[in-house]
Order: sequence, then C-alpha cells, then structure tokens
Amino acid sequence: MKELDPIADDEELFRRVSASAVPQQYDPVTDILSDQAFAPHKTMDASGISVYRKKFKSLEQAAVGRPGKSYFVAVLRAGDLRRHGISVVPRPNLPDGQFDAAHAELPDLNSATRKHDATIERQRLLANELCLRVEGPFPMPESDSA
Amino acid sequence: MLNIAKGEPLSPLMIDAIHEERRTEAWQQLIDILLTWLSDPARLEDEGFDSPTASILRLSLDLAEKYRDAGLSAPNSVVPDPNGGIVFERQEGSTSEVLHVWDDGSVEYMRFLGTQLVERQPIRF
Repeated sequence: MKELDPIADDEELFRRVSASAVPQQYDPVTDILSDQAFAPHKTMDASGISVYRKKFKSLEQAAVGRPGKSYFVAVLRAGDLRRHGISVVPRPNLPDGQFDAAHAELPDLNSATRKHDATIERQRLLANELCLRVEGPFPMPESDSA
Repeated sequence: MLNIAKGEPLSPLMIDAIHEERRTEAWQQLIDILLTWLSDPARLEDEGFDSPTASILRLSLDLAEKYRDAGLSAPNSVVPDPNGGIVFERQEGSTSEVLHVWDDGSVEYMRFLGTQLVERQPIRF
C-alpha cells in the first residue's frame, strides 16, 4: 500500500492547466505560463491545490479532465518547491472517497489563503521560476466512450 | 508614411500619433477578448474553474475602457482566474503590474518586482 508514500525531492509533479480560455493560461508561442494556473479555487482547494506524481501517473493521465476540453500539464520538481518554502504532501485519499496514489497537494496554496500576499507570490514563483516545462495540449474526447 | 518614403525622420507629433494608435489598438484587442467571453461565458467553465459572470465581465470592460481613455498603456495579457475573476497584466522587464477584478467585484492593483509583491492597493471604481 502506497497510501503515505513520501514524496522525494527528485520527484516530478504534474499540474493540470485548463486550456479553455482564449487566450489560454499557457502561451506555447511565448512559453509564458500565467500564475493563475496555480491560483486556488475558493471552495474546491480547501486543503491545497492538486498536483500529480509522475511516479504514479503519466503526463497523459494527469491531463485527464472534463470531456471535450483540452489541458496543458505544467511540470515541477518537489525539491525545487521545498527549497522555496512551498510544501508538497501526498493526499491519495480524495474527498469523494476514491483512492489515487498519484494525488498530492500544495497545502500552502489553499482556498482560505487565496488572496494572501504569500499565496499570490507563490503562484508567481511556481509559474515564472519553478515550472520546468509545460507539455500539451492534451485534448479530451467528447465523452468517456469516445 | 510620406516622411518615411522621403527618408526623413518622423516628427515628434507623428511618432506620438503612431504610439497612440498602437496603444488604442492594444486596448481594443483586450476589449475584444472580453466581449468574446461576454458573448459566451460558459466556454471558460472547466473542472475547478468557474466562468466569470456577465457583471464581472462588464465591470472588466468598463475598467479597460476607462484606462484606455485615460491614456494608460495597455496590459500585455488578460486571463480569467479560477474563481470567476479577471486578471489584466502588463510586464516590462522584471516589473509586472496587475489589475485583478475579483469574483466579488472588488478590484486591486498589484505591482511585482520579479515574483515579489511590492505594492498592493484596492481600486475604487
């Protein structure tokens, strides 16, 4: 059971980035990633924003989202985050009762702190300095059966 | 154009006119993006991502038109935040200026040096 498998510093982490907006949160031409890709949702990120561990999930699996939508995946390294004071913890037990060994969270960036100076600075740090690269876009089929 | 054709330098007035035209065009591009979103806000909705309401988009449009008319330089980008807000950003070198229209309708100005937030204040609008 990998339930509390600690995250090593050299582990790569994937953050799914919505490509729904035009212009998108990531511009492949300029290679600029918006810090809003790391902004917490006001209710859905109560314990931190989600990332996925490469150790347990491929890029394509990390990009899976709503049918018919398209996603980029921002790649980070756990040790880089920690060196800049950003925690990353395994959270395989999801709120809906499901288990996902790949799921982890950045607890410093959460719903309650979304407007705090420190959170806003961390978003920019993640987007501008700590993101190793952005992959995709990965289009989702219109439905699960497609 | 005539001056360029003649190989003569542009007059300061002509340079100002060109700058003003480019500035207005840059603002118009952002305004057009907001109008596109306003015509179908649901297109922005996604997992963990709320689409902005029509009132937030109209507020953002009002803000853009106000700053355009006041002669301010246009932002380089406009993106939605995940909570139904709108973020304008202008970056020059290591300095970034942000106008954040939050989902509750409040507006804030933020200035960053690199990733450091050095100024933050509410905007009365």
